[in-house]
Amino acid sequence: MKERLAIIEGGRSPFCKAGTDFKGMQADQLGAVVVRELMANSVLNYQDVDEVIIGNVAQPGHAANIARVIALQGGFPVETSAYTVNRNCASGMESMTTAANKIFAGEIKTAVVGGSESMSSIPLLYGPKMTQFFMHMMMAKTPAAKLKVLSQFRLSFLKPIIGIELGLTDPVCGLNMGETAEVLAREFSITREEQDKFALNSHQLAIKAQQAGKFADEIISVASAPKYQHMQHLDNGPRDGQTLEALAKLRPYFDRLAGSVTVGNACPITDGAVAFTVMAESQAKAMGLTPLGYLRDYSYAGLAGNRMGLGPVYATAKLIEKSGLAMTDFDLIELNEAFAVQVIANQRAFDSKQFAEQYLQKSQAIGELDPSKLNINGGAIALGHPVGATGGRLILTLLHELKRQGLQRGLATLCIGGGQGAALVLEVE
Amino acid sequence: MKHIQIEKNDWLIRVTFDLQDQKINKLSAEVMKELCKLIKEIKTLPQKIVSFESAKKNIFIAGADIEELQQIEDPEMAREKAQLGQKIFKQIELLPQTTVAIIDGACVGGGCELALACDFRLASDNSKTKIGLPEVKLGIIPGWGGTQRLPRLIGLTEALTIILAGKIVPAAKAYRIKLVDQVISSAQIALQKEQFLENLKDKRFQKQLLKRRQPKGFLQKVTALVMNTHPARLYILKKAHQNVMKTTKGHYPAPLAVIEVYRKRCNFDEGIQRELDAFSNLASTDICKNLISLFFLNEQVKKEQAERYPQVIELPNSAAVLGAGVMGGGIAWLMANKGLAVRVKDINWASIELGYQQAVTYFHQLQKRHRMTQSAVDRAMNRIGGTLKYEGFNHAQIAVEAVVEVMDVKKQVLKEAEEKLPVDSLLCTNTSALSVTEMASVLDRPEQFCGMHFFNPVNRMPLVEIVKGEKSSELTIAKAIAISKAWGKVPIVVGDCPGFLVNRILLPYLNEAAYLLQAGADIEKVDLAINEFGIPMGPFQLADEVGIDVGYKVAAILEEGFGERMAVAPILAHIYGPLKLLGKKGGRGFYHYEGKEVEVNKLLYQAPGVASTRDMNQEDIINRLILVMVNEAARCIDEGVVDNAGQLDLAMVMGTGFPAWRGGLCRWADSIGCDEVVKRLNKLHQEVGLRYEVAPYLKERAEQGLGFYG
Repeated sequence: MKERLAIIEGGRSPFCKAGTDFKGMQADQLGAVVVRELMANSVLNYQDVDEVIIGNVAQPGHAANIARVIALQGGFPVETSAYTVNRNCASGMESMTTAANKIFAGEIKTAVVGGSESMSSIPLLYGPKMTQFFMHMMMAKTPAAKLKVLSQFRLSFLKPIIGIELGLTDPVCGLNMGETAEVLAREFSITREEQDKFALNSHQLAIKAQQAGKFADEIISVASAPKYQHMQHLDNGPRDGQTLEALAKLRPYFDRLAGSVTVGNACPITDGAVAFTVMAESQAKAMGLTPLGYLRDYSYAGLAGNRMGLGPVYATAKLIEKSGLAMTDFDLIELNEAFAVQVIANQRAFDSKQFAEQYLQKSQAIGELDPSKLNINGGAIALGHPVGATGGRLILTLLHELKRQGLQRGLATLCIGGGQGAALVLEVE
Repeated sequence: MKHIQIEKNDWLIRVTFDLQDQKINKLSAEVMKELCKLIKEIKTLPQKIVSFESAKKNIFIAGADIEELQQIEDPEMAREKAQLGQKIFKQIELLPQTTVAIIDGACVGGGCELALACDFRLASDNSKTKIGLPEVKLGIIPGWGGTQRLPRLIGLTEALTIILAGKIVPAAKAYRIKLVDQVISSAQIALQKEQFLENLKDKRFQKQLLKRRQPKGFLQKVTALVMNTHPARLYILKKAHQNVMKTTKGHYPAPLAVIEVYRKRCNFDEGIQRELDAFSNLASTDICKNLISLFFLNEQVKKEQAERYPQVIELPNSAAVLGAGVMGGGIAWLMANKGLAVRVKDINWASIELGYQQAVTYFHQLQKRHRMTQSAVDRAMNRIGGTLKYEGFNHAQIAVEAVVEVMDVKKQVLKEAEEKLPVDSLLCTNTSALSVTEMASVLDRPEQFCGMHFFNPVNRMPLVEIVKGEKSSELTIAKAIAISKAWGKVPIVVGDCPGFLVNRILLPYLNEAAYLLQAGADIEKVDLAINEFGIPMGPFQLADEVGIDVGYKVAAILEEGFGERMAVAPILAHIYGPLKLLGKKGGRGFYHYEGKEVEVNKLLYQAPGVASTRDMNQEDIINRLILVMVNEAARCIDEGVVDNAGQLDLAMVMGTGFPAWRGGLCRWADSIGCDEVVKRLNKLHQEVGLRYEVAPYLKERAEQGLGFYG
């Protein structure tokens, strides 16, 4: 990148497991609350922002180009343009890197970026048989014709297609995300116990961070619509009393016979939103602002869809080459925990010379994912993974932790359904 | 002609209402005379079509001339006036040509009756297009054939919902109930109305329009037949009567008179006679006069304010509220509902939650009445942002403080908020009794500060008291007035004294009710007497509703400010202190509240200092409770707390539920005469005590033989 992208301010909603506190709120509403509060807190005025770019995966039917809906509901004037980006699980990051491209191409100066997802709201769909039944019903004009169509109705038509399952399945390789996790468990021989232990650790770290009030710096309290009976201040995923025994009791979810991935060692489906104000570092300096942090560089990389969990390895390899940095240059690392097994697989692959030779055409391993630097405030297994927003949360959590510890540089990376990886270099002053 | 233009071609006569030197079209006596002449002339013309149109923007015809209505002195005069209109409209109906009213804007009262006399009605989808018969709101009934033509066009049930409530409906609704025959685009009205007139030349097109008015399908036809039978009509009227009694308690004669007009099934001409009789009886009554005078008061106060505060005000689109209680939440609701972005600040999240709930409750009420969709509610609620800090205050062009009624807290909050607000922003307090001037003493910009006192519930009560502190600038007051108006409220500027205007008058009344209880009055009987006087909520019901703690605190502030005259009744202190009753919210006050069951809290009869007898007649109750308010009203006018009796009356009606049909507190006093009021007060002064010492202003007016209004 030409220069660093200054991330002026950022904030996120609490992340709440689907079907809980935010179940009555659509992605546009969640996103709008976060954008509204971000702007209320911001040194910038609405008029100072040239573009709003929001990542979202499920693209709710009632809010086509959800970024525009979020911008307007978040208080932006009609003059502010807005568009939506979708790079599946990396959508929240994509919004920021897209903004960086636009800014450094000289197209815009300032943007609000972020991501929003309501996985509670992903609808069930009628299957093709039911759809056809409706169509025939509408085409039938006479009562007799209607009766005839009606007589062809079978109860089985009512079996819905579960939208969220559909969304979490890679149509090219045919596996759903959990099944790709099972592929990694086999490739790297990762046991159920290792996974459960990792999951437990994630909860414990998240609880510790929560109790230390660390997330309070990044979370915006959100009134739970539509009843507004309470304000949500915290992520509701982390379990204080989580135990290995409880985790061990769960049955494998994706491969019921011989699998090891359970709902306990995978991230839960979640609702949440995140947003930032960004501009070029030079402009922030000129305006005398003190940004929360900077985006120094980024890479996206592709790989086979059935091993999508290894996306961080591929993207980070590319990033290191591009930026000239080494793994030792990163003081902290946020690697999204889609599945415990997937993070462990990444740890192995990052550190493996053989993997580097075989898959990355490199003679050296990329470098160790030091556990003392990795996801030190827990990860998506505890906090949840609202797909469109998570990328943003990694950036936000990482920058706040760097600041807190007085460190300089971090890596935020995640795997992307469909077989991609994203990796971002983030810095504080 | 002067007010009505006429334009002809070989098939069309275009009659255009364009009143000279007027912004609107109305059917004054002069206009009606012109119209009468015109119709006679048209009758003999060969053209096939007559179209009635308006040259005024957003107005078809706004009804009869209300000033002329106010001048009606006796039933005879009323009869003459109505009869003339009935005749002219009958002539329109009898014209050999095909007649059509082209409605692009307000078409109400007499205007609607004219449209009804035409063969066809065409309406534009202009948002200003409103069609209906609001006469009952002025204490009369439609008197130019409206009561007869409307039900014959749209059916008795629909007609009753419009006439009894004085409702006006938009074009789409009017089309649905078949009050208009076609709706055209307002943007292309010039083009589309010509097309419609062109079409009217074709009898088949007319037939199509007429056919649409007929019931369709078996079910509709049967329903129409059944509804038209005498027993069905009687049933409909009975239900309507029950409804009217429920909402008006029988205090308003006009809707009841409408029902009586329909009581007998008769032909059109007899119906017209019945309408005429009913109209004549109503138009010169005091109730009608009071309602009309209140209508004019509203207009007059607007005019007075516009003259006094002519500044052009830019309306805010960003606001802040301090304190998220019932009032804070209500005010945030109002702002969000008017499209403003609102920051709501409080000191803990639990309060913010309460504020959110208050706001969403009001939105849900709108949703329930189909005035808003869920997504509109979501969007509006999304404009409200709760916070514990002051973020976003730097954009707020107006901030309203609604924290607890404690002077020191208010001072601190206001001072803090002022630092966070933009330098040109307006800062207001929603205090109900504390001194605005004293609050301003801690501010850096006291000139930009004033009181903006909303009444609970904010979504229902139209009144806002704009309290002028010593240092409040003219511009600040002008801003507060303009903003309240834009928010759909009725602002009245009042002086900065304890309780301001409304609470200063109302609290003595509540206090006096407590004294009555001590003197041996029955709680229920007192409330009932006041209900019968026309105030929907009696003093004890009101005290329970408001909360006895709230009421007591205001009463105490007033006692501190005005001394012995406002001494808090010992029983109130007893209820607030040792008994710790809170009223309805605590389940117990002057009444017990258990679920839907409400009964008098008889324990209070045993309280210390309460007489054991329970007898007091209704007249004494009314005299004591209402006269104490009249007396205080006189002091308010004397001290300049409010500009004049008109504004005071408007405030009492808009803010307290004082019966509109009585025209207001001062108007009521005038109706019995100031000298009589003074006489009664003197008597009470001797019997009851100092609280009834006649206000000097009142004495003066009585001596001069004047009333509040002169």
